[in-house]
Amino acid sequence: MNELKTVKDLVYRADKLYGDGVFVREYRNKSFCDTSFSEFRKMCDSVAVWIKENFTGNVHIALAGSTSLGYLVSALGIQVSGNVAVPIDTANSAERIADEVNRSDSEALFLDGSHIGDAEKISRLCPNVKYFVSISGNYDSMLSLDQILSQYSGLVPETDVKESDLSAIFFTSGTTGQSKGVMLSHGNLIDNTTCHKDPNYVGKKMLSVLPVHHVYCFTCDILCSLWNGVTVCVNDSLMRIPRNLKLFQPEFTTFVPMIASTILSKMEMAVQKTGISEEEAKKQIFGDNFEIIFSGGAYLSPEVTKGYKKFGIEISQGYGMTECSPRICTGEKNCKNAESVGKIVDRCEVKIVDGEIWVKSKSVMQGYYKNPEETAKSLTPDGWLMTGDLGHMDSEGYLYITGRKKNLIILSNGENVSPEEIENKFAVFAPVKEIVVYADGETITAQVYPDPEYTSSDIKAEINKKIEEVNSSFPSAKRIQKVIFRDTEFPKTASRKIIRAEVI
Amino acid sequence: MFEKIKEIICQYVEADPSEITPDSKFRDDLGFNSYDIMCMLGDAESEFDIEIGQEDALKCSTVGELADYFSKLTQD
Repeated sequence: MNELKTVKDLVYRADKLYGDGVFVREYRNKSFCDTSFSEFRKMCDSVAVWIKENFTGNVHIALAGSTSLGYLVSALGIQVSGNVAVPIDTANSAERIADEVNRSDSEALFLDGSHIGDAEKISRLCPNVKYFVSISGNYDSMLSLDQILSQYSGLVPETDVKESDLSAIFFTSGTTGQSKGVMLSHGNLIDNTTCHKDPNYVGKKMLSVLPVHHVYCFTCDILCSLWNGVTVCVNDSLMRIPRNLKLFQPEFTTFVPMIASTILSKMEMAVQKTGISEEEAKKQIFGDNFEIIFSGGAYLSPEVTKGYKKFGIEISQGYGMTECSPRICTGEKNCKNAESVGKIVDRCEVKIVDGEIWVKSKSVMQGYYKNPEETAKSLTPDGWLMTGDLGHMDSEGYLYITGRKKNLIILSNGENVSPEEIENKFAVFAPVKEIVVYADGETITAQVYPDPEYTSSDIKAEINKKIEEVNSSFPSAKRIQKVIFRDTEFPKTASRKIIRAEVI
Repeated sequence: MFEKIKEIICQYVEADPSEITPDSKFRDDLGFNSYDIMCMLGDAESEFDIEIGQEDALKCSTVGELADYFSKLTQD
């Protein structure tokens, strides 16, 4: 096999290059359970043979679960068979899972232990699903992955998978409306997996903590580890990140900013209260080998980056979206500019059109599943993805994000003001818990929810002083002219994002 | 149990241990965010050598409720 074009090629390449090296490491019953790259390929083959025997034609198969060896074998087994994996958010209710199973035309559903209880209900709501498969554990009424793996052990599927074949449908939530199914081909995923020349990571370990139904985790943690010969250490629960960092002693991990902030505070608190050195605090929390955190998914304050630097840990920001498999920019070691969201990845063209970031690359999605109207709103006929994000880039290929296009304030004098650019200045200012900036007519207005936990003799005065300070750093058109204090939180979506439309 | 939980709490938030009572609420009184709580539960698991059910533990809104929940687990 000379060329790497599909997820199947990637799984087979990893077997050939890294063979007995550890691909997945789990901690179960107080001991490590390792699976090699070779064993993993064989398990994927077994799942693929089962699919080939039980379905005709191209089939979509949904998965609801968190990261585990079983989940990864199931998802990649589906892709190795040339069929389509549909990862679904585990936090969803049974009704929402059923809705996404139906809208993606899935004909089978793999479920992990936490959703087994929902199987009957989902089965009633999804008449087209022929098989329910338990990813973890055996149940009388249900086929299990263990049964498939033992029954089809050692068999190799006969499949002809093409680069342009659909490989996965990932649902994006968005702040409004129904979730949309993003169609990614094998070519999309492979292009994104190989879009950045990583240093030699062979044999290194990464702790995978993000939800695997997000393409950020799926590509950057799972597919990139297959590509680079990295061991994926499975973080079995969000609450066990500190324990698992110590246990697995990884070299790197991917975080979202909220997790990064909590762990940083924990290290700062350890130094402050116990008087240990920064180096000791880093060792206590991150273990002996730790080098770098990759952050994505939301705005990372430069203050957090600076905070980690004190402990000798680099935190590198990236940028992407599900529609782009997901990386558009990637963080790198020794990134020169903490304000940027990283450097544009290889083979990716970026241009700025009326302030909006447009992207063209082999990673850009095929479209939204059965949703041509929304596809036309995001993709131009000549293949540019209109990201909806506002920003600019510099001559060295670093990209900077200033806000979302739909939130942009356009004043009658033609001045454009991005509310996020102003709001982000308050990201690490303790007296402000939440802030939303918008235009009330021509007046730039800030609604502020002061932190009720913050103890101060005059919190409003402190906030007003900070606003003056922030204002002085902006040209006059971007200055906050009116402040409204509120005593309740802003209305939020299920994923805790502020619903701006209800504020303004 | 209560004293040990207090120690773990103080690894996450700026709180005066003498002011933490069984009625102290994690979010409203101690200023925990949702992820701080998760991390603290993980530390408690290691400290007491128990296996915590995330959903059950997150139902505990006060320090006292969590201490009772942990006590039950350690007895089992």
